[in-house]
Amino acid sequence: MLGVLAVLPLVFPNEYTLHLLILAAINIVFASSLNLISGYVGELSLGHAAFAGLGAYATALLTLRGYSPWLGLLAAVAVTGVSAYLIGLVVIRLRGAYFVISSLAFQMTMFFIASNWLTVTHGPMGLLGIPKPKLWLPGIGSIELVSKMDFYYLSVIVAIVVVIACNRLVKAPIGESWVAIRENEKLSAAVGIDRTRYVRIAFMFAAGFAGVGGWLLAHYIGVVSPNDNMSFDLIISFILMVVIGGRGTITGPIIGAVVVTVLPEYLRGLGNWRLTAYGVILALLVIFLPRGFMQLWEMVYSRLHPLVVAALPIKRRE
Amino acid sequence: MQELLQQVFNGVVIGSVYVLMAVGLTIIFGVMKIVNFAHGEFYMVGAYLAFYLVSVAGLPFFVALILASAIVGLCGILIERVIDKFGKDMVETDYTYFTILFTIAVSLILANTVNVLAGPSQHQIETGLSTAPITIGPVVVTAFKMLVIAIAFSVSIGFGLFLRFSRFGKAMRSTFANKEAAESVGINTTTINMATFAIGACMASVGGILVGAMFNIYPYMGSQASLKAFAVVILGGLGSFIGAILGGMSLGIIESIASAYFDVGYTQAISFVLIILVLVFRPEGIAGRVTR
Repeated sequence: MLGVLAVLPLVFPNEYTLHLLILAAINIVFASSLNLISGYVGELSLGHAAFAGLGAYATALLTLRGYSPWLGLLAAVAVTGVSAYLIGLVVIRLRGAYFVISSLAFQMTMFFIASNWLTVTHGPMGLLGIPKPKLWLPGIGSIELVSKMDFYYLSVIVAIVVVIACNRLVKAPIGESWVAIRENEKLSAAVGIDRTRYVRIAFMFAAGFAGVGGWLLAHYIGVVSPNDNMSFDLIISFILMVVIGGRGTITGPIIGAVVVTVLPEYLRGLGNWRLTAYGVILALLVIFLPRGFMQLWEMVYSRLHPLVVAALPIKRRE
Repeated sequence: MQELLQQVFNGVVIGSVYVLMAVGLTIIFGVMKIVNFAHGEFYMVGAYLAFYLVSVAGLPFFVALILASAIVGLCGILIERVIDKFGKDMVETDYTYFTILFTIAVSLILANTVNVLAGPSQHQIETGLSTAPITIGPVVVTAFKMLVIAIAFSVSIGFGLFLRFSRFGKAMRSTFANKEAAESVGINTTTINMATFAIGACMASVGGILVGAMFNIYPYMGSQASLKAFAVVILGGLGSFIGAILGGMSLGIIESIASAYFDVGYTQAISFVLIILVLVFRPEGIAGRVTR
């Protein structure tokens, strides 16, 4: 698997394919992070783009003043983590529809600040000229990750790290607590799970990872602006990723992210109808396949597996 | 002082539209527990329909108002049917997710479709009324603005009276209070649900048409309207009719006064700051029931 990923850019050295792969990797980071809140804890967050954008702006502001992009990474994580904590103070005790609306309000507030705090963020024109990260390798010295191929490796490695981290979190007792809270809040409280504390942790991790994704995006594109990094469109694509792939699973967001990255290419023929198409897809998914692609996979797998087993020669059936 | 009164008047005008939107949204939530993210799009579609009825079909404004709102009401029923059909057997948490995502999808579809079909440029709905300013005491008004207040109030208050005194209104309130109990005394909650959604959509549409005639229409006007409606409903309390009225008026007046002192852009921020403040200090809103 890793071998495939490593070799991929050499097989398809096409700039455009690499671009898609990089975006897919970044989206995997975003989707996995949102999945922690919306999939495992079970609260739909419409504010996630705000964290992605905060990470992007944090690193942009630092690196444009000459600091290293790696410091920008630390900053992105720190800023998003802290703001998740602060927002959490307000938002975590809300549930269901109230949570959704407040996350939306948070999102709009951040978008508004980014668009209007001209002295710092340059508003809709955004910040330009963000440098690429430099890597110091023993023997080679410092190399700047300028080419798409370089960035591909960077983003894939980051994506793998984030996915593994999410996986570890989810399989750990904390992940089980999240699921417990999602499934039956009162019962989980009865066995001593402190919802506020655990949801806050989920929130901070999710925001932190989103910040990492925002960091990647900022350094890849080189520009941050409210419309690129924090818009409502971004939220829609995040939600789509999690819903298409299947929330509450680890592979779900990965599939969802890849699909959503590639979808605009297939939908390109639709031109301006693209957003309508997204709406239709979302509506159909939510009605027929609420658990996303993983649901489809389970349906197929559970029907195929016995057949496959039956078809194998007897010796192999152990 | 005169300036202040003028702003208050303007606030009342726009506030009455907010009330319309908020009442619709709040009854949809109260009766069916649906957070209707497409509410702003009902407002927008109504406005566009009325615009075309007036400018292309040549209908008089009030006929267009009623016709367009009726059409939007029917669309509302359609959407409610879809939600009911697929969401009926869902668990509460799944249902919340489903209705929110579905209405978001509907709003995307509607807003984008109108954007593609009608183009992004703005239009204004002709009313046939003179736009000459009329001076009443310290305040300068136009005939239409007075009409806006009149229409919005009569619809909202009319609905309130209907809720309070009519038989169907009582049935609606019962379903609102406890769906199973209402069903067990023989109330057809399916009809109530359809009617509620239709009325909510109609009211939103009327609001959109009134705004479209006062200011202008554009395809994405719905998302702003939705946000304002949410702010009012949260301020007033999700599910509270009185809250919607108080909240709508408050937001309208606050925004209007603020716009005299701050940049227009910043007054938009009032809605979401308000949402956050209310959720921090009193999530159930002014008139909501305390269910922490």
